[in-house]
Amino acid sequence: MSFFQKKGIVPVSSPDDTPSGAPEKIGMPDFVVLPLSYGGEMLPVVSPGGYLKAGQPFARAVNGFTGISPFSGSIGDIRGIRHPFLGSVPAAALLISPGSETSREEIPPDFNPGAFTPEQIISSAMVRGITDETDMEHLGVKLSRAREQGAVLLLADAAEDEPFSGAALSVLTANTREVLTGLELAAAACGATKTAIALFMRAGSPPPDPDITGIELVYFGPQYPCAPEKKRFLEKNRAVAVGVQALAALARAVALNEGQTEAVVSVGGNLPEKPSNLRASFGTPLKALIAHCKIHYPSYSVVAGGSLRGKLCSPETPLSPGITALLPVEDKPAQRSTRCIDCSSCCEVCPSGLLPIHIMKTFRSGNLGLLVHLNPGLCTGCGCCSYVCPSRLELTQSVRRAAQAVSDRRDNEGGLEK
Amino acid sequence: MKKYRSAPFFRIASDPTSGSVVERMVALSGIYILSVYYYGPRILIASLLSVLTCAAFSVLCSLLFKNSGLLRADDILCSLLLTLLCPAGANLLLAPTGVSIMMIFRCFWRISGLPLPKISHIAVGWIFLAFCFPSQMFIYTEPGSGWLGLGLSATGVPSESVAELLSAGDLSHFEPVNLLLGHLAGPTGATAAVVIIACMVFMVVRRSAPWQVPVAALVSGYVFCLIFPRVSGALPMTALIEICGGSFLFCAVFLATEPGVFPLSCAGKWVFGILIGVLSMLLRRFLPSGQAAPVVILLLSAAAFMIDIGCFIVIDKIRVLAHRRSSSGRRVERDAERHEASENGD
Repeated sequence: MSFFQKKGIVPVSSPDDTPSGAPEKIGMPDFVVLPLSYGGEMLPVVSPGGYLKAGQPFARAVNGFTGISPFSGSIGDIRGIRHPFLGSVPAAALLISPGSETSREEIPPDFNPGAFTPEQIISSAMVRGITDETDMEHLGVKLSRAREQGAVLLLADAAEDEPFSGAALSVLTANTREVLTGLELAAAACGATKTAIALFMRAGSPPPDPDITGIELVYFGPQYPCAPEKKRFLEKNRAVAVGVQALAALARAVALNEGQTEAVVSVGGNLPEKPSNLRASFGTPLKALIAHCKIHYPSYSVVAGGSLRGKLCSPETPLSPGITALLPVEDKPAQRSTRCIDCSSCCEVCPSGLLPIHIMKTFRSGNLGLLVHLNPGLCTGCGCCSYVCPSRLELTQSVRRAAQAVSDRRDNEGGLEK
Repeated sequence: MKKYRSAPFFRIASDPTSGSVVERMVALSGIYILSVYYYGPRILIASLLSVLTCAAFSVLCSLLFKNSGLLRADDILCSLLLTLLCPAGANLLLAPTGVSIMMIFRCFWRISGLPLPKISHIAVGWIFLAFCFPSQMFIYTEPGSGWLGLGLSATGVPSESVAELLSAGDLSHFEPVNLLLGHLAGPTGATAAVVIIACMVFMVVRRSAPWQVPVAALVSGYVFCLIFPRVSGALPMTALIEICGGSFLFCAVFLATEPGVFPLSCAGKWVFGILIGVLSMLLRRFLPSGQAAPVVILLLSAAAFMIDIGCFIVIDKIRVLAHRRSSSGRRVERDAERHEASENGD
C-alpha cells in the first residue's frame, strides 16, 4: 500500500505508556558524574580534590563552549566512562555538598529580549553551555551558522515523534514563557524574521494544543519519522529548528545568567508504575530517574534516547544533553530472528527509499562493489525497517554497519588516490 | 517491553509470518469451490495427492538430513497452486509429479543450507510437466459437462481452450459470461476471472500480496493486446479475453505474488508486473500451448534482484539530479537576495 501512503510507520503504543503533564523535579542525588566532553572536544578546568560551586565551569571547549556545574561540591576522581551517546569520555564525580540545591527562579516580567545584540545572545549560549537536545549541537554554533546562511524562519522544535516520549511538549506547556522568550532571542541571534512552533500529531490522539496565541503552529506526523517531512519544511522555508529545551535554557542564560545544567526526560513504557516527565540535573545516574517512577520489576535494562532510535545503556549512565527519553525494558533474552520471508515490508516503509534487506544480504555476502550502489549511507537510523520486520531481523544495525563499510572503502580509495 | 539487542526496542506486536500463507490458502478456497462444482471431487483427490507428496518429501528430508521443520505451510500452498494449474481431466499422478520436482528443488536448497534462490518454484514444477507431459498438460475438459471419474485417468468431454480459440481467430461462439465464471476449457482453477479477481482483492486487502504486481501485469497485458491484437475486430473484447482466459490471470495473481518471487522495491514491483504482462502476451504467440505466463514468471523471478537494483540505481540518480537542481536554484535565489540587499544598503 506504500504507493498511497507516506513512507515510515505509525507505531502502535498505548497513550497510558506515554508521559504527559508538567515535569516533576526529582530529589537531589548524593553525587553526579559530569562528562567532561560533550558535543565536541573539551578541556577540563577542574582537578580531583578541588571544590566546584554551582554555576561554575567544569570544562571548556576551544570554541568557548563551557560545561556548567549544576551543584556545589568536591570533585572526586576523574576517570573514563562509556556513554551511549558521547562514547568513551573522561568524567568527573562531583560529591554534592548538602544544601547546595538552589530554587528555580522565574524570568523577570520586565525582561526585554530585544535589548540584546545577536553577538551577546550567541556568546551567552556558548558560555552558558547550551546544547540543542535534538541534534546535540552547541546552540551558539548552530545560531551563528544559521545567521551566515540567512535563515528566515526559526522553528521551536517540540515535534517528538518517538513513542513514549513527551518531554518536549511538557516543557512547551509548563515553561511556555521561557520557550517563547528563547525563541525570540534565538530568532534575533540568527536574523530570522519569522518564528513558529513544530508539534507532532500522534495517531489516535488529538493534535497537541499548547494554548499559545500569536505564533504559528506547524504540525508534523502522524507518520514516524517526521524528520524527512521536517527537513523538507526547513528547506522550503529557509528555516532552522532548535529544540524547546535549548530555547528555554537560552532564555534563562540571557535573562538570569544561568547555565544549562538540567534536562526534562520522559520515563515511559509499560514498566513504570506512573510514566512521568522528570526534571533532573546533568550527571544524575539514570537509575535515579527510573527509581522515581517506581518499577516493581526484578530486573530491567534502560534504553536511553527513545524506543526506536535509542541505545541500551547501564542504569549508572549519567544524564547528559541529548537524552530526553528513557524506556525501561524487561531484562529477557534477546528476541530470536528467523529467516527473511521476502515480505518487502522493510522496503515499503524506509523513509530514505532504501532496500534494507538487499543491503543486509549484500553486506553479508561481502560484495562491497554492489553495496556502494545500494547507498546505505542514506540511512538515518530511524529503525522503521526493523520495527516492521516480521522475522525480527536486525536490519537497522546491518544497514548502519554496511554504511560504515562503504564509508571506510571510500576513505581507503581516497587515501590510495592521494 | 521485550528486550532486543539493538534499536528499535519497540516493534510491531503481530507476527504475520504464517498469517500470509494461511490467507492465501483462504483465498484459494473460492477457486476450489468452483472447481469442484465444475469437475467434481476429482480435483480434491488430486490436491490431496499433491499435499501428501509434499509431506512425504518433507518427512524424508527431515529424516535423512536431520533438517528441522516437517511440513511447511508455504510448501502446501505451492502444491495446491500447481495442482490448480493442471487440467482437471489429466492423470491424477500428474500434479504430484510436478510437486515432486518442486519439492526436490526446495529440499535441496534447504538441506544445503544455502539461501533459497528467488525463483518461482511452482513455475519450475509447471515447466517440467509442460515439457515432459505436454499431452496431459494441454488437453482440457469441458467444464460443467458432468463430474469427472475418480480413477487415475478420467474421460471428460474435450474442449478447445481460450488460447486455441484466439489462435484460430474464431470467437463466434464465445460468451463473455463464461469468461467471467470460468465456464471455459483451461487449467482447473485458472479460468474463473471473477473468482480470481475476488481472491486478488482479498489478498491485497489482507496485505498478503502486493497489489502493484497483478495490477501492472493485467494493465500492461491489456494495453499490449489493444495495441497488437491477435484477432482483428471487436478489440476491447479480444484484449479482455487475452488477459482473463488461460492461466495468465491466475499466474499474475498467485504465482507472481508468491513471497520470494517478486522484487521488493515499489518501483521494482511495477517493472516486474509490466514485464510479466508484456512478455507473456508476446511469448504466448510463439508457444504452441499458448501458456507463457509461468515461463515468464520463472525468468523474471530469477532477475527480480537485478530489477530491484536497477530501479534503485535509476531512482537514486534521478533523486540526486533533482536535489542538485533544487539546491542550486535556492543558492541562486539567496545570492540574488543578498546582492539586492547589498545594493539597497549602498
